[in-house]
Amino acid sequence: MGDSDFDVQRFARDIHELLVLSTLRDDAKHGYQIALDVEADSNGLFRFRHGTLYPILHRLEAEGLIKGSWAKGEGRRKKVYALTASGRRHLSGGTNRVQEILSGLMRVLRSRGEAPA
Amino acid sequence: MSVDASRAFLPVLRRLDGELAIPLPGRLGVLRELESDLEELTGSFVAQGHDLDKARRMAQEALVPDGTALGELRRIHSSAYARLSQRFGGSRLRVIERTALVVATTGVMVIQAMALMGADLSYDPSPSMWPILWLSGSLFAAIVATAFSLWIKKEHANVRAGARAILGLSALLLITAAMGVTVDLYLLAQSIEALESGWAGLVLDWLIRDGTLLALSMLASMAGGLAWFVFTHWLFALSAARAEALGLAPDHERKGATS
Repeated sequence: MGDSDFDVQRFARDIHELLVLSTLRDDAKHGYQIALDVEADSNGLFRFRHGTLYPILHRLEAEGLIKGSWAKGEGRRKKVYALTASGRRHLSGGTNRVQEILSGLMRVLRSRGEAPA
Repeated sequence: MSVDASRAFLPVLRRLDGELAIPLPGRLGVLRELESDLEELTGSFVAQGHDLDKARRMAQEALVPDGTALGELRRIHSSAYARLSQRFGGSRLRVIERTALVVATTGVMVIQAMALMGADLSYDPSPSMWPILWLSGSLFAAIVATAFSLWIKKEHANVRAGARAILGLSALLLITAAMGVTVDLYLLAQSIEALESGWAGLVLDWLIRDGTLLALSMLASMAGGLAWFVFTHWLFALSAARAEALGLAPDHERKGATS
């Protein structure tokens, strides 16, 4: 895989998008709940800091992968996000792609590790 | 400026309102969402045993967008016109925009003039018809430019001035028509005085000519008034929503805070 095929920044962005999509797989959630769930599910490995969650949510919404709607709960209205059918397909395809990339990476790392000193 | 004590994050929201240069409806959505998430996350941290001040600080650190996140939000929420302007250069797009407006306005004025000249009832229009045509063409241009600014460019700062221009042009149309009818009536009276008989045809001509003048100017003024109502109502709704989102007094909005 050459430099022209793999963009690390793009990959990092895709990972964050997939993390958000995966937390919405079963239920619609508020933004802060998505951030808490991603952190909890990844044992603190992935955390959204300094508002980085919102550009991801709004980009996914603009691309039609999630749908935001305002819900009236107790007191203030809250924005709730739900996965769309297109988002579900994107999550499935993206997960396979990440798995493929990570498998390739591990193959390279292991083959180097097993090489004689 | 009023301060709502129950809304602890208003200072943060007001700061972001100044930094997040995107169309107002999108900006209000971001600020409302952020405030509700900040409150919920604070509640969640308090439930975990943190004191309220620390919980608020932690929530802000997690959710309030920094410069990079604000830049991303600006890219996502900028209007299609702003994106097009970035792509092709703002000055070139402005030239295209103004040329299109001039062509459309001239087209409308030419069509109006041809319809008047071609109509049997107004083969000999009142001299006041020409300023009325020019004013109604300008009114059309002002309505199109304001609508374009509000709904396509999403630059709300110019809309207030556009609405004022529309109202002014509508009023000017009616005043010009009234003056035109008065002058025509005076000329008619002079003509009747000079004639001993056969002035019934002159009165009929005057009725047709100035009836057409009045009808056209009233129709254009009504369209202008309706456009003024729609634009100012739209702005008022946006301003009220912004005042509510940022906990501002309504009079703060009237001083032109909408941008």
